[in-house]
Amino acid sequence: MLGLGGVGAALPSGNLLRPPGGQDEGSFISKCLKCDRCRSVCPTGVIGLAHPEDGFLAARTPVMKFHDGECVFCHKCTEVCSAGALTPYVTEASTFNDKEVLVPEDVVIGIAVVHKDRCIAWTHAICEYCKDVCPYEALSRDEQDRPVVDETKCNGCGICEYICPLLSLRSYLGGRTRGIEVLPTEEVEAL
Amino acid sequence: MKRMKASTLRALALGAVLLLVVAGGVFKAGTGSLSMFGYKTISAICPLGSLEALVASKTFLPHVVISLVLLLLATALLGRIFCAWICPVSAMRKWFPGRKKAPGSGDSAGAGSAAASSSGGGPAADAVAETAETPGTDEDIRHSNPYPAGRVSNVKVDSRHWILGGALVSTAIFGFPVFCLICPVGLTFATIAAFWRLFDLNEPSWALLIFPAIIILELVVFRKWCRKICPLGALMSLMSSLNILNRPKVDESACLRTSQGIDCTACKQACYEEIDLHHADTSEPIGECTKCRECSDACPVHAISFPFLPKKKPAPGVVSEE
Repeated sequence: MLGLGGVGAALPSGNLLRPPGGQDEGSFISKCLKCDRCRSVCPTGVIGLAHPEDGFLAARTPVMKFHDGECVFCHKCTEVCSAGALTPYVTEASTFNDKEVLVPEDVVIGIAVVHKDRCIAWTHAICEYCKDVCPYEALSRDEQDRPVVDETKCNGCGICEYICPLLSLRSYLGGRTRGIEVLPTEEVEAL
Repeated sequence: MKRMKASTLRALALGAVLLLVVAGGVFKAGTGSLSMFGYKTISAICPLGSLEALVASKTFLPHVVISLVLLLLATALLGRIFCAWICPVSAMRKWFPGRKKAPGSGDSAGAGSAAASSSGGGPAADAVAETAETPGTDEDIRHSNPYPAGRVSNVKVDSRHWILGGALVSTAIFGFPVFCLICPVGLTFATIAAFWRLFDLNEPSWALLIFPAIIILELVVFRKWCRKICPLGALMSLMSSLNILNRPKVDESACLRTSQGIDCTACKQACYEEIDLHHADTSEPIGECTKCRECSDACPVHAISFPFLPKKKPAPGVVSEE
């Protein structure tokens, strides 16, 4: 058991995008029992499970998969996490395109980064999908109509990555990365 | 109506559990798996996982403590029913049969099973009884020393308890639930989830191979996983030693040993936990009973029942202590 714990602690694990409330990785990993409740309750299906290839320790823990959905900060995952791995956060109601949205006040899942070598607007022609859907007005256009992320407004909800049509429209590019991608905050700061 | 075999009933119970977990996942109910099962903020959290989360995070988690206390109380009240009726490992271990019973385990196993299989009816039983007519041995066989009803069981610390301690120490040092990494119960549900995501989202992963491989490795290498390794069982056994409800009870007027002096050990042989209902002194503690009812099914004369409340009166005319 001690060996197993040591191996688990020694093996490297990258930064993972956790569901909202699970951003303090040390606290999160100490309480997460890999019970699958947050993944199963998520109404948009954005919560997926980390695979063994994401890290020995991380396997089976919840991670955000923005190819499958976006986070609407509905609090359902923190509600079902009785172990306290996902801690409650505060949201404020706002409106976007006549629809009610919840704006998180004290939690940031990650930050969206435009891949300028892949993004359709940056490499080719006008594409405004991501800018139009961002409920937090974190995406604007530069003078050439290319998307730019305001890192202070981005919560990492991932709707821009979810909506990005790059892999469909330019599937010949190959790869699994879309034109815009939410990355863990630490990685964005290191860029 | 024909009585259903205990193993059939247990399979149905486990099937219901699996169905409930899978349905909860399919319908996005957020009910979770056996690691934590619940609805909204109400959860039943795996007692070992609870302890690990408390130890690893070194914080007081009210939900976790409440669930832990309630589940441990339930175990004290009802015994280790989880192990036989809910845990998927107890069902899976049948697919990986271990070596046959270790020879020289103290009882005449061959004779016992022969008696058990041949003495379904009266005449055969009588025949066996007549051959064993020597008064001395007959009295020895008839003598039964069942565990006193209504008294709490002793706790026998074994390898499982050491692994439980090791898991908790390791969890405290490294700051994450260590045993959860290899828990075959958690990995069973993780395998189901991995296959679900493969077919639902076309999301293949090494989990599809790694998780089942770990489970198989555990059940094959540590043949008696539940008896020797499982720290969850160890934790439950600490509490189930207090259990006095629903204990197996031998009707001594029907039992071939006590009524006819036949050296039948069918119930002892059937018991995975190695409980001997006739020899409390040499048996594993009765608190280890998982209420699987295999002994009751194995008994050729159906002398073993599981009364919910303990009855203190001894069967008339039978030698029994207390």
